[in-house]
Amino acid sequence: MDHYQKNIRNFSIIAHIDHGKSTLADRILEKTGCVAKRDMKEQFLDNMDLERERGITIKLQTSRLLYKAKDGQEYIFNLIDTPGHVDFTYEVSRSLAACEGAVLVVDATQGVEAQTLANVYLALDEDLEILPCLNKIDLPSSRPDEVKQEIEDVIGIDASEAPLVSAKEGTGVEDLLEKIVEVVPAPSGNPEGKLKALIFDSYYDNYKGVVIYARIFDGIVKAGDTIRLMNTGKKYEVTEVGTYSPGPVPCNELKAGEVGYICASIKQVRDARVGDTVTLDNDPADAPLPGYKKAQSMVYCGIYPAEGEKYENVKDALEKLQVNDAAFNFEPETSQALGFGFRCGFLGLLHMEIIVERLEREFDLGVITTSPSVIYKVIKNDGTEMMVQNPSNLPEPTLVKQIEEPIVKADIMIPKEYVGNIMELCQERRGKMIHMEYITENRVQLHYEMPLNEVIYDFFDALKSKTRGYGSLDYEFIRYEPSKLVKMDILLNKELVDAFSMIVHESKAQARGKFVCEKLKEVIPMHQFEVPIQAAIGQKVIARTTVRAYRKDVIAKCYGGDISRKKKLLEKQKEGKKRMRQFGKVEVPQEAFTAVLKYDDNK
Amino acid sequence: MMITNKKNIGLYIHIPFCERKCDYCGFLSFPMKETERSTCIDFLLKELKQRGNKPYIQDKIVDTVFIGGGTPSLLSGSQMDQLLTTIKESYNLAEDTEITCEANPNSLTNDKLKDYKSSGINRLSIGIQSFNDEVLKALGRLHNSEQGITAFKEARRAGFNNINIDIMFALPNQDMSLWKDTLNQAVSLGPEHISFYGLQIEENTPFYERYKNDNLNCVDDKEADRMYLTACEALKINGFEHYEISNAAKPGYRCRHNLKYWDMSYFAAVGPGASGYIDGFRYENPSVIKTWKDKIKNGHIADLNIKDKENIKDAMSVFCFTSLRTSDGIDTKEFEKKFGLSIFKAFPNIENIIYNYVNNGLINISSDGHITLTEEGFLKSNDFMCEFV
Repeated sequence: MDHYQKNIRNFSIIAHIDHGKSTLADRILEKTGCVAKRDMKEQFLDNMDLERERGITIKLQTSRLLYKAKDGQEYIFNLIDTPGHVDFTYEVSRSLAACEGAVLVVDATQGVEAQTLANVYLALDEDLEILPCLNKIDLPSSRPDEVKQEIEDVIGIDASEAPLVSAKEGTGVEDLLEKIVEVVPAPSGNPEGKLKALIFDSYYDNYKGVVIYARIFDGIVKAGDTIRLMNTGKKYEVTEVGTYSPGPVPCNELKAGEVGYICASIKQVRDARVGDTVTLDNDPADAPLPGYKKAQSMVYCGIYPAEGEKYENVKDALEKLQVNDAAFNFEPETSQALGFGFRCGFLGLLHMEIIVERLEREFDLGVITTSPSVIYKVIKNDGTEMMVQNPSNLPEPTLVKQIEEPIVKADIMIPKEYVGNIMELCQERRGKMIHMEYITENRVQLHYEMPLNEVIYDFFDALKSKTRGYGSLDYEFIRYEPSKLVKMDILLNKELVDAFSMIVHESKAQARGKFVCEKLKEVIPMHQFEVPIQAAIGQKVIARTTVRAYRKDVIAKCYGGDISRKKKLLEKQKEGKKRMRQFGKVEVPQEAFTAVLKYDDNK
Repeated sequence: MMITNKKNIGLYIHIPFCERKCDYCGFLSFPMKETERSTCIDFLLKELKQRGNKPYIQDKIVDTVFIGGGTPSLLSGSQMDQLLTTIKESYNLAEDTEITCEANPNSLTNDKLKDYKSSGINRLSIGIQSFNDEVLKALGRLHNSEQGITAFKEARRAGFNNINIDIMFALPNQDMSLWKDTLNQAVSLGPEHISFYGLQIEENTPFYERYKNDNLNCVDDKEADRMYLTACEALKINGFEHYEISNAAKPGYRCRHNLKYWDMSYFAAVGPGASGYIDGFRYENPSVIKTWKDKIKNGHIADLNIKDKENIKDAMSVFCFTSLRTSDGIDTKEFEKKFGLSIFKAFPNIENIIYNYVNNGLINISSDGHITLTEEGFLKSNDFMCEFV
């Protein structure tokens, strides 16, 4: 081992949402003098407002820290933060692959959660040394001994020496840092070898182009090198390398064992996909590092400019977002109801929500999103196969031999008193229980196989609502399975509104149809004419309701002052007449498109 | 080119407060506390003065004043007096100015009526709406039928000899027999003028949601039509002239102010959300109270803005649809004189539509070129009027 390597510690922090990962990262930055306390924004590593608001980290930030240990030596800590949500499992796994160790933060008041487990398994897959630590020990409701036992029972690692930390108050953080020095192995790797660097994150910078975060496993990279990305085969010239502490600090070279950034005038984040291996073009490594996966969109929805919003503006914004988000993709599509827009693919529902919120907040755009859909595999009578992610593209039922839907393995962790409720919920969502285990006396993990299309609607909201926020969920795709699926259309005033079409299981169609009809009735205003709302499968109407008409022609009070208002009223009536004559089109407020997607406790 | 009666104008004053917002009310009015009301009145007085100073008012004579709302009868006697004094000081009032004040039965006391009378109010419009207690309650009104009757009698006693009462049909819990009863009682009180309106379901009112969810027990459209026609008939029999779609008066008692709206006369308007029409400008005051007050503080409330200048196209359509509200209808010769082209040229599709309506008994065309809606036609008035916009 090279002498410079022995004082490096590369590690991640893994934790469940709200268990205090970001706060802890802040404290570590502060204790290592990396960020002065007064300069700190709360939770430095979460640099997107949206994330801070939701208390979850989505985008990775990496920092190189200097820590003077009690043994008198100075250590380089590379803290690689990981995203904290189920949609980003692959990204988490790549971040972990860049480390030798992981600090497992467990809330001493809450104990182990489904997602903690999921991330621990990811870390174990990468052979990381796991260093448990208990957070929030300042809270009166903390129960460190029990939780330690839980960690040992559930995860099977020794937690007896787990540091007791209050990230909020800063207590125990130094113990933790010492433990990191002691427990996390120094990196190995040969600086003389052929360059092999793992991309574990990247972001787009307006001046530098794509900035790659990489862990160097073998070899050396420096400005002027021509690098090759082994999975995409693309070549670039390195313009700058450096480390983050936490702002960028250029340096001469990055060597085996180190973590830092590489700039190479790369134009799009998708060209430097997480998991790819960087090597030198003129002296390449034999094989890339294992574990590369292409980004796989699991959930799709249409995004359309809201009224008064320009198509071009939405397109520009989507392009900008895509530059920085390799997992997000879009292509143009048109809807009869909504006009010109885009079909967008996401890793999961949260990813979708984040993109939509960013469009609204960062770009100040009004957009309409359509019902989310998964990708269905359709096998036609002639034996050909097609993948369908827009319900409108589903072929005529007579042409279809079989439709298959994606099934996920869902791990749900809940306090035991909610088991009944949640089993009912899962059953309702066509879940098949694989098994159930008691993690502790009070906590239960349920293992289900469930169609993804049941998960994407509002399952997570329902789970949270039915467990008073204590339930947690982790899911991953396992296979496609044949299923009795039908396309359900919504007709307003006898006219199909394509943006409301959805693919549902036969057994759920009626209930779903009724729910959508009722929701629409709430949000669609009265018109000059009666508006029947129908849910239909093919020609067969399975649910209906009606928005009653305005009183047609009222002999109403009208002040002279109201002449402009009267005129507007007449214009509206004229418009209504025209529409009735032409297509009987119904005004659908934008909120209607989201209202049908929301979880409703009372339904 | 436009020839309008520029000498005489109307003046509308909007009182933006009430005791309690009625569940069907879509007008600009808010429940306010005593102090807020009096601040509001101060601002009204200021706006009256600022407008009164403008040349476009100075060269006019005001011969009708209408104080509407909201609930103007929440003004105390002295507040009303202040208001009218300010009007007299700032505007050229004609000798025989018609000065109307809207009133709610429960806010009219004997003393107040006397004060109003001596301040110069010479026409009262009382919002009785119905003589049935159940119906009044369902409307969210604060008075009962007895108070309605008393208010009318008190007004007479105070010397008002020109009184309108407002009544409404197609109300929740009101069937034909209750409507007939209300009509009879209204007529038997002997007012000079009766306004009869159908209940309109306005957006953003409690009634809207209830109506949409079938939670409002109203008669259907056909029965509502019959109620209207019943009223037309009953009022005619009792000596009223049905001179405007929802207004009827004893001979000589048509509301002169109301008519100004329908013959394109000019009228100034004061108060939040009020809109006026003067020298070809259609202006609208801010409807947010604070914005309205700020504009008065800045001294800009009375400025006419060039963007509010009515264009010929709008003027032509307003001319047509407002005329159609009256029993005189559209005077096609007047139209041609005013705009320099025939109505059939201005609205190329209208000819066929008119014949269609004539064939269905909804329109009359007189030999002197007036297009008028029949009583059946009034029921389809919006449908026809919107052909002009």
